[in-house]
Amino acid sequence: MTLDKLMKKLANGDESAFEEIYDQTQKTVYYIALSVVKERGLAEDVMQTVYLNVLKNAKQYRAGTNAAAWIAKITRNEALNLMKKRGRVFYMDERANARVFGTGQADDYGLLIDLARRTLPEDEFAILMLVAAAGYKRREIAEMLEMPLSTVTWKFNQATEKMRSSLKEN
Amino acid sequence: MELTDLIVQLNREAAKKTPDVYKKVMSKARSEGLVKSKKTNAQQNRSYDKYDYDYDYDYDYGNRNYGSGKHSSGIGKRILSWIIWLIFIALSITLVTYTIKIVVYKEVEDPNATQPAGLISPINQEDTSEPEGYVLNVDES
Repeated sequence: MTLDKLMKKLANGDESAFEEIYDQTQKTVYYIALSVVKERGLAEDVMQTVYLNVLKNAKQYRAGTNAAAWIAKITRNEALNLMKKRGRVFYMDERANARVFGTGQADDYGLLIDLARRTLPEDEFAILMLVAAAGYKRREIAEMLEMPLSTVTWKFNQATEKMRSSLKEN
Repeated sequence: MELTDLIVQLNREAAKKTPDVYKKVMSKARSEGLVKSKKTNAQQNRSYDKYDYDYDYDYDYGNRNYGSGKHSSGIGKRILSWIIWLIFIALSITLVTYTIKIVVYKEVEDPNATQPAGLISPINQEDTSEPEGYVLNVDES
């Protein structure tokens, strides 16, 4: 079932649709959040907030529009809000506070994902992971992130080039 | 590293390392009153199913195109389990119907079968009595 139909079902009070929505968007939400916050623990916090917002605001979703883009926008906004709050309150180093953020090692992310997270800028990391992890096409990503297709393609190529050169160096 | 290899490797890592916060979200949603229903069996068994499915998906990624990752919902397994249940129910109904037919027809066809007391219909009984006013044609010679 498409994400749009599932959102309609959820808006009509069918809670069983939520699990399917979660399954279809889990990777998208996580990697968009991770592209902004850069830390696994914070990305998980963003995920929780995003899905609670989806449950609260399902009725505000306009059927027939792009549900993935709607969820992606919520994710990005929540991640940016979290970073603003964090910037105002304190800064905690992930690797120095393993108890809060997990081990902080590459193993938390996977070696290649960790390399991508550390070397790529926000948009490039998000685009690369949406292609590789969530399986989206570049056209779909362009709609989701509200970017021109040519920009998405260019950033994807940049990301893969940077990854290749980083792998050669390492 | 080739582009395809890079994508495949990233996909494999993502399948293993993407955190699952579904249970946390649902418990928060319940505590905030956003979700009314109690846990279904499917939700309770969710973590086990999810692990199973991700492993399968990860394993055969090399034979798929990139577009399949977003459909990692386990819906195929659910449909298969529904089909198995439907077949099981259909077979049970057929078996019960067939058994009833055999028992009923056997009773009807069996000439020695005795009918239980109180169920003997007067219509089925052979009427051997003579009607009133009927005179036998007796040869008196």
